[in-house]
Amino acid sequence: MSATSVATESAHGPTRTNTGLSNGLIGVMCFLTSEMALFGSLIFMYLYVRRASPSWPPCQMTVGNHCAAVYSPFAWQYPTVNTVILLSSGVTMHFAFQALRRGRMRAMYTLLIATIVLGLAFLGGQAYEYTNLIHNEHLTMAVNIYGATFYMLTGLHGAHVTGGIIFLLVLLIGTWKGRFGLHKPMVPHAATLYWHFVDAVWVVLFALFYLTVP
Amino acid sequence: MTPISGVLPEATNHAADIDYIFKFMAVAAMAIFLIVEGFLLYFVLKYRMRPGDDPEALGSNIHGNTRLELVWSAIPALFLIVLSGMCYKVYFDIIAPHADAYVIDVTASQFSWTCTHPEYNVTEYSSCHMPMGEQITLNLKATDVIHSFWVPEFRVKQDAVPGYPTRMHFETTRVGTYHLICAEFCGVGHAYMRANVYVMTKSDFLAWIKQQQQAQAAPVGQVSFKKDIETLFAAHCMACHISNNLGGLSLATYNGLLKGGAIVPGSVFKAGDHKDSVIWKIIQPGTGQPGGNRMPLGGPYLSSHDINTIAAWIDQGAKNN
Amino acid sequence: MATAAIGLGVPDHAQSRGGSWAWVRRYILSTDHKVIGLNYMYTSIFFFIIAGLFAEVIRMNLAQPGSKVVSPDVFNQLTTIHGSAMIFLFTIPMLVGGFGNFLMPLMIGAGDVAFPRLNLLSYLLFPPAGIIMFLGFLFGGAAQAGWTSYPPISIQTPPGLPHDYGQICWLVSVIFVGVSSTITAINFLVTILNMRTRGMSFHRLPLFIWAMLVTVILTLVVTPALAGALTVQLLSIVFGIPFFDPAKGGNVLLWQHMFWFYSHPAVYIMILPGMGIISEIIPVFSRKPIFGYKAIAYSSAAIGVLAFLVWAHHMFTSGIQPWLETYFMFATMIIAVPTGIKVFSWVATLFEGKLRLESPLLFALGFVSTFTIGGITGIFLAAVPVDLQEHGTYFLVAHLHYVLFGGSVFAIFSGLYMWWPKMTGRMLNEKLSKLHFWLMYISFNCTFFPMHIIGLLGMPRRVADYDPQFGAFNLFISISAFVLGASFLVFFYNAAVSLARGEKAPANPWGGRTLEWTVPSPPGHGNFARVPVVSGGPYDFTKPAAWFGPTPTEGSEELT
Repeated sequence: MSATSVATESAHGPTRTNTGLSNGLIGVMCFLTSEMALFGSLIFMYLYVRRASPSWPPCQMTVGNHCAAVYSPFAWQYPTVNTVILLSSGVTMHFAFQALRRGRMRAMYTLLIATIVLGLAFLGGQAYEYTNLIHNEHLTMAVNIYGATFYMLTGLHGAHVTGGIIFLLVLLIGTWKGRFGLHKPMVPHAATLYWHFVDAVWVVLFALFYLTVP
Repeated sequence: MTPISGVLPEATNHAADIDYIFKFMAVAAMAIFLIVEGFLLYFVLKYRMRPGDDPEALGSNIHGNTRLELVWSAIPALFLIVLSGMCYKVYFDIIAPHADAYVIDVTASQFSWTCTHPEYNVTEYSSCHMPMGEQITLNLKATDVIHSFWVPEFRVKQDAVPGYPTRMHFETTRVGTYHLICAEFCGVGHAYMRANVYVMTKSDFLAWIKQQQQAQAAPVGQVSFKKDIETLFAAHCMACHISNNLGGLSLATYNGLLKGGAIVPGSVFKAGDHKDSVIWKIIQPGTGQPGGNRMPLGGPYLSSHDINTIAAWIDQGAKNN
Repeated sequence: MATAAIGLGVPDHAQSRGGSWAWVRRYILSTDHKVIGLNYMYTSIFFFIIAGLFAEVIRMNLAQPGSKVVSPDVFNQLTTIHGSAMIFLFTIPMLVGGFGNFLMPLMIGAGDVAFPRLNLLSYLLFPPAGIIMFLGFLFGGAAQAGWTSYPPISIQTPPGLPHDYGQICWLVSVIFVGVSSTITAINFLVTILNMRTRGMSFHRLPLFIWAMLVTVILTLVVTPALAGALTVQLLSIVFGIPFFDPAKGGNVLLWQHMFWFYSHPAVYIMILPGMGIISEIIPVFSRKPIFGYKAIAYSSAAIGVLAFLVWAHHMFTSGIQPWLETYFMFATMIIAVPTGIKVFSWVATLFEGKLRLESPLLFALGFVSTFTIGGITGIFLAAVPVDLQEHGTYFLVAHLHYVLFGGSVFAIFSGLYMWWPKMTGRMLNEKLSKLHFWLMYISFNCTFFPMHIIGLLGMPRRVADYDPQFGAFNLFISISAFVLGASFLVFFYNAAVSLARGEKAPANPWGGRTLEWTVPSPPGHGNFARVPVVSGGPYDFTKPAAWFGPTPTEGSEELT
């Protein structure tokens, strides 16, 4: 290895770094910080319009100068089930990574597949929730700020879950092929952190949209 | 530094306060400028290498001076605290409403100003009359995009934001004619979105109000094409439709009105029915005008009196009289 | 390992594979931070020239009242793209992508950045993003709502067009540039945290690195916030989603908060690297240490923190709540303190120095003098009662050009003149360099100083036309602006002659003590043949810069 670089790209195995943490790990943490900033700005958007709005949920129908009907708050019961599904996938992901670090590959594959299945179930649940809102409440993204903020945030989150599932599939196949594993834990570690991040964002969104609207 | 107030008169009670803070800051700015630039220039001249100096010579090995650094951090910080305090006080004076203020509703739209006097039910287009020596409250509203109400002599500015009414409070202190300027970019007509502000003594103002009320109530009499309509066209439509025939429309002759244009073909009027006439519809505010744009394109738009004159001429048969 | 290199080309692993595509692999697809840095510089300068030409057309239109060199809608496109291109396609890529890439690994003693291939990806996103911004001109008109792009005007379809393609192009372009910036920020942050050479503690870092560290942390946190805002505006235009439509519950001021939350830190992203450059140049050309190293380092960090907390000082007339206005006024005043500390420290560094008045120092001193003026007018604008008069006027245009041109552009040229030998292996002609400086400095002040006056007297900004009483001022400004534009011709001529047949540059023409001066000009691939070991600060002219760790078969040796 060339003496010119103190810490080369993380794929080449452990090298001396100033902080003791690998480049890849700090890189992933930086990436997740930027993702937090992205969701943060949109959560700010939601909180801002909510505070600036005369009522929340906002007005659905105006007659003359005043509001005749407001939107109803989102029902929390069904999404709670979906939240439990997603959080369970976080648990399975945690233990999948632990299994990898202990070299218990069969347990790792089982738990990883369980995570993917639970993630897909969550997405299915979201699709059901959207369909329900569009057909029964006639709430789309374009009709009112109520829908616009809801679909923007949950939609962006759903896109991140989708990306995460693809990442987990790549991880699954790559581990099976020997590219990642006990000897190369950087990518599995990154995937675990990412998946926990996606969970954490959902907890915040679930609370904001479903639990804090009277 | 010439005081701004010498060139731009102070026309509200806030202006004097604001100019005072400006002058205070200008003095401090001049001091900071002279100190920083002065030392910079002095050091450059004094410590520059001259031909014949030892090329390997080094400067003094000074790394810092904690006491000096504390002083030059503390003094600006103190100055800024004092400045903030002054600004705080003046700011709250500026935004304080007054219960007995004279109210004017100002509407900003692309690209003209409309002032309505709710107390007297008088509306004026592209102008704003105000009484002198009174507290004024302006209720600002924007119909389309963000605009900003600015009269430089008043020293205050406030955005008019769609969907979000804003207010300005001040007392007029000087009679005169001033320019109302739009200070927030609002499109192709931004540079031209102007109006005249007339600050008049109370008695002059009331006389003007009375005159407006009479004019608005008075019906429009017999309208002559040559005397009234062509004059309006020359004043408001000349650049595009008389000199240039833009949109294929010429308003230079009565026949041009019958021919219409390329974008909106056919006669610009339907004799006897102003509501179904292109020329009347196209000068209305809002949206949905024939061809998609309100005329005159980019403003300033016709006053309601002028619009009523055109409507009356059409209803009277739109004759070539 | 050989570190000799010839001219601009940096020997690369790809060089050994011949063929007609070798040139592309070596110069465009290289993952070497120095090649990438230079590529950022070429592309940035290309956009600088175009945006500068737009400015000249703007000044032609404003030379006299009532002139119609261009129609108002084209004028608005020119002002919008001038500002957007200068910020997103020149200043930030030049300072962060250009100087940051080229210098940062060298200065910390690393062989490259943490993720060289990601670095290449960052760069490759940049030229297409830039071109997309200009594509609007082909589709009926480029974006024309100002670089601040406030709705509703920015989401209003311009009269005569079926859709606002120009605005859509602008939004997509800036999103791309933001992604590129964010990836670079991650890369640089990991590099600075993890890849500093032996002995390079934080308190021995060159001040340029301190500046870059704060800059990339800012970039990492606020650029995604801008991406959120841009996406939301894009959805508003393309799908009619009512984020900013009051009729459907949306909020017009929302954009301003989201946009300025990014754009205020963005101005520090644009100035901090420039300040870092100045902090490098003044000690070298004064032959003494920087005055107040810690103060300058920590004030950069303080500016970084405060940068997040002052955004709504761009919104004092927008109708935000009084308690917010007073808070933002106080916070903005505070940020002047760390900035002032830097200016005083730079001037104090000159005291008892042995000043070599060569072009890098001249531009650095030009920076200090003009940035001071810009900083002072910033305080005027921070004072809310005074801002009520000055907001949206030419006073603001003057302020922003004093800090962005008098600040960032002067710093960029200061850095170009300083590191030209290191980057190209050639020297520039010092007489021409000085001529460029004087022409630029004098015409810059003649162009922008009068704008303070006409702003206070009643000329708003973003106007294609104005009251006749401002005619004389505007004519003077326009003529000065043409001289300012012409001054760059001197630089380009100087650069071309230097590249073609300039004198070969030694490793350390200026006698600097930071690590990039210990390697040849230009440096070879991998930068350092042996690990540099640092035992002191970067501005100690009594000692050499570093000693070098052992090669596999040799002992260590001091650098002379």
